[in-house]
Amino acid sequence: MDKQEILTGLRDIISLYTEEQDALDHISEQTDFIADLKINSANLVDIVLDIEEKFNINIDNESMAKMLNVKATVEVIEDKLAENAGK
Amino acid sequence: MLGNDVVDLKLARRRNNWRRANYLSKIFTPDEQRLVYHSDCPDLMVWLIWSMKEAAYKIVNRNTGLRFFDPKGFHCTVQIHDLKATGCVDYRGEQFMTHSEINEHYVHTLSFKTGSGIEQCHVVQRRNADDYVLSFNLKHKGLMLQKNNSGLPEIFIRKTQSRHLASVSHHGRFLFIAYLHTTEEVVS
Repeated sequence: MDKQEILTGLRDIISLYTEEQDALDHISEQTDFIADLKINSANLVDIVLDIEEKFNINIDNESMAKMLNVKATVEVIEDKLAENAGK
Repeated sequence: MLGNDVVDLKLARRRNNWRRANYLSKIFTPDEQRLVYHSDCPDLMVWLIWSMKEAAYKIVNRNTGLRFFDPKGFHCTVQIHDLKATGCVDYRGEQFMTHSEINEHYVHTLSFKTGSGIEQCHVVQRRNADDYVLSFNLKHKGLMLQKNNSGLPEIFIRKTQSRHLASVSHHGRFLFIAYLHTTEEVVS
C-alpha cells in the first residue's frame, strides 16, 4: 500500500468527523485534526478505531499520542503495516 | 495554573458513541472503566472523567508546550456529591485537583495545579459563538480577554493593570472562560 492509498483511506475516515469541507478538500500532510479540521477530541478515538479496522493494524497508546495531524498519522499507519508485513 | 473543559451532553450523545467496541479501553484505565460500568448514570460518568482528563491535559500542554493525545495516561479518581464532583488526576506522577459541575445540559471541570485552587478562580459562562472574544469584552468592561505572546488566553484586568492566566473551553452550546485572580499567577 503506497502513501497515496493510505492518505485516501485516511481522508475517507476523517470526512466522517469534520464539518470543515474546505480543509478536507485541501488536505495535506500539514493538516492538523484539531486546528484545521476542528475535530472534537472525543472523536479522535473514533478515527484511531476506524484506522485499526480499515488497515487491519493495532495502534498502541504511544502511537496514538502522536496522531494529531495527517503526517504523524500516515507515519503510524506505515510503521504498523510494515510491522504486520514483517510478521 | 488552571485548565477547564466543558462537555455539552446533548452534542456528546449525538456525536460520541462511547459504547462502541474498544472505545473506552483506548481512553480509560481499567479502574475508570469500572467506575463507568458500576455507575447508575454511565453516560454522565464517561463525560465527567473525560472532562477531568481534558482539563488536566490543558495544564500539562501549557506547562510543557507539547501537544499529544494520551487520555489513558491521565489517571482519574473522583467523588461525586449531588451535582458536584471533586477529583484528582495523575499524569506521570504529577497531580491535578479537579472540581466539576454536573447538570442535565453539561459537565464542566476545572483543574488546578498545586498552589492555586477554586477559591482563586473566576468562571464566566457564555453562549458558545465564533465571536465570543468580542462579546465577552463588550459585556465585561473591566476585563479584556486576549492572547499573550505565546498565543495563550489571558485576562487583563483594567483596574489593577494585571494580566491573569485564562483557560477557554467550548463545546456545542456552551462556552466557559476561567481565570485566576491570584497575584502569584499574574503574568509579567
